[in-house]
Formats: sequence, structure tokens, C-alpha cells
Amino acid sequence: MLANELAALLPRMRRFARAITFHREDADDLVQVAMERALGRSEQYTEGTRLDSWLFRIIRNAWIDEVRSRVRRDAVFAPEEEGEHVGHDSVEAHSQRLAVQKAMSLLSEEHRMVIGLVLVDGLAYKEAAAVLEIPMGTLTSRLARARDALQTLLSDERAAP
Amino acid sequence: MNHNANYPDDVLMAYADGELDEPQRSEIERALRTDPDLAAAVERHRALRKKVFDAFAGVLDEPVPGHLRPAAGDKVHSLDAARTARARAVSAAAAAAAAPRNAAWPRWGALAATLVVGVLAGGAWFGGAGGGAGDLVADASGRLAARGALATALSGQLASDPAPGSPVRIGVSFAARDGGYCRSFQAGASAGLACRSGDGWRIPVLNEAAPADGAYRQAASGMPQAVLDAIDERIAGTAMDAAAERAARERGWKP
Repeated sequence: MLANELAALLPRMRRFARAITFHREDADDLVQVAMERALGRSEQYTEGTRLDSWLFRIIRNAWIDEVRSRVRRDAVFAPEEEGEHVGHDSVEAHSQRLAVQKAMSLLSEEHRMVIGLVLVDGLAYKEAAAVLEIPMGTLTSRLARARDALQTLLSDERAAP
Repeated sequence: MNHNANYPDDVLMAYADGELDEPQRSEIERALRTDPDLAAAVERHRALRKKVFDAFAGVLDEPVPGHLRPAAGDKVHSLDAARTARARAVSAAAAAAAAPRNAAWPRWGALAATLVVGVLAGGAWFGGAGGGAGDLVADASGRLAARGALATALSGQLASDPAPGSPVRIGVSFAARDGGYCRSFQAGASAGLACRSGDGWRIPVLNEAAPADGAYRQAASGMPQAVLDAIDERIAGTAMDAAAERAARERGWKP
């Protein structure tokens, strides 16, 4: 049963992982490690609590203590493959996506995490704070700083193409 | 970045994110109507949020690589189980072939041995799709092959771009170890794997779709174990992404 519920969350987990790693392969490695941990520790999941929050926390921890150290550092930023998703949207939307992804890759890890949870996945502040195991006040100020940093990177990008 | 002495930026941000409770929310709403700077600051937060969301939203539509599914954890076991089942099916087929009366049905016999329930359940949608078994799956030269709406969907539909109205849903597409392309699919109560063979699609596995599991049912979990095992057994690398899938379709699924 838990396996089915975890499987249903895979698309969201992959999206979050993509927001905090730089490569598609690293993101999927991260999700795989997290899924293995989740299944191996299913007894630690408390029935009735949010499974998505629990899984996000596992992903975050897996990133910090395992996957981060073996990612492909050779190329810090790997843009999505050319032509991907193209067809549905304009060239402008495409280049804007690339710009945001690149700016994300330049953020600090803390900032990527909080943006990934709140802006990319859409978690409420309270849930995001629980995932990151920080108080609400810390979450709010961290999110505000992360947004500032991201906004600055995106404006720089526009100023110097 | 304080835009207004009364409302620090993180309060405006929380407002833009829908995180403020009353009475603060109404207070800001009132202030927004009279203070264009404040309104612009809120709008900036909203615009950034949308921009970031949009930048990653496409990931949700990508097919999830088979190896990420939780069942992959005991892949070895299920692979063994699949092999055992297949070995049994082969001997069942041999036995069936040995009986002259059944000579025309060796493959059906083999399938029946592994997928008793699946093939029977399949009948439901063959009929339901309006046209009988011949419409979607036929017994061509003793093997299961896609016909009609199923064949059309397999050749034309993209997993990354579901066709609303189609009776068939494509799960994942991938390059098989033998160099050809395979795609998992679901149609009504049945799910299976189809592999390109010449100009058609062979169906090595057809099964009953995994039972609906309340609110959690969706593409990733609807595939029965037998189909997931068949994918694990054949897949070379990972599932194709949207671009690769589109390119393969354009080549007519030729290796």
C-alpha cells in the first residue's frame, strides 16, 4: 500500500529533486535513493501524517548526506535538453525557463531547498518549515532572502545576456 | 528590501503566497488599493513565484523512469519470479503445441498460463471499446499484436502528451536492449507492454490493470507488476523523455 502511495508522489518528488540538483540524472539518482530509504524505513512513517512532507524530508536528507557528494560537479549547470517541451510554448517561455533554472543553480543550497518546496512544489509555509525542521519565522525570512537572491540573479541575466 | 515602513517585505511576500490570516490580510488588501508601490511589490512576488513554478512544471508531465518505481526495490525477486513464470509458460506452450487439436493456439496457451486473469479481463475492454477483440488486439500468426485503436495510439500518441478522448493511455516509452522500441499502455481494465516489430506492435505482456487504490491511483501506479517486470527486463537505460519520444515517433519507431 505504502509503495503505491509513494509511486503516486514520484512526479512531484522528481520535480523537487530537479529544482535542487543541476542534472536530470542526479535528480533521478536522488529520488531513487530517497525511495529506497522510504521503503526501508516505512515503519518510521506515522499513519495519518502527510506522506509528501515525510518524503520531502527524506529527499533533503539523502541529498545532504549522500547524493550531494557524488554529483557531477564538472558542469555545474546542465540546461534541459534542446527541444524538450518545445511545441507547446513559445521561444520566449522556453528561454525564460532556462534562465530560471540557471539562476536556481547559482543559489545557495539552503535557498534552493526553500524555493523548491514553496515555489516549485507549492507547499504551505508550515509544511515547508516542518520538512526543513526549522521554525516558521526562520522559514519566512529564509524564503524572503532566497527570493531576493533569485530576483537579483534574474535581473542580472536580463541586463547582461 | 522594505517597500513600505508599515509592511515589511516578508509580510507582503506572505500575503502574495496566500499565507496571511485575518485581520492582516484584509488590512493589506485595503492598503493595496491606495498604494501602487505596495501593489507593485506584491505583484513582483507573485510574478516570481509563477516564473519559478513554470520553470519546473514540465517535469510532472515526463514519464517516470521505470527504475524509480518502488517495486524496483525487489527487482531481483520479481525478475526471478517473472523468469519462472515464463519458463512455465514455455512448457505449457510446448504441451499445447504437442496436442494437435490446439495447434493453432500455442501462444494463447502460453499467455493463458502466465496471464490467466489478464487476458480474460482484457475481453472487457475489447468489447467495451466497441468492436470486439479484433478491434484492439488480434491473434496474428499465433501472437498477440495491436490492431485498430490500440495500434493507432501506440504509433501516434505520446506519453508526454496524453490524447484526451483516446481509449488508450501510454505509460512509458523506452529503447529495449535488442535495439527496438517498447511502450507500456493501459486501455480500460487492461495494461500491457507493446514492442515495435516491423510495421506493427507485438504485445509480449497483457495483464489486468492494477486495481484502483483510492485517491492515489495514477499513471505511475496503474501498471501491474507483470508489466513493470517486463519493462525492467527489457529496458536499456532509462525511459525516454518527451523529446526522445517525439523523435522516435517521427522515425516511425524504427531502431
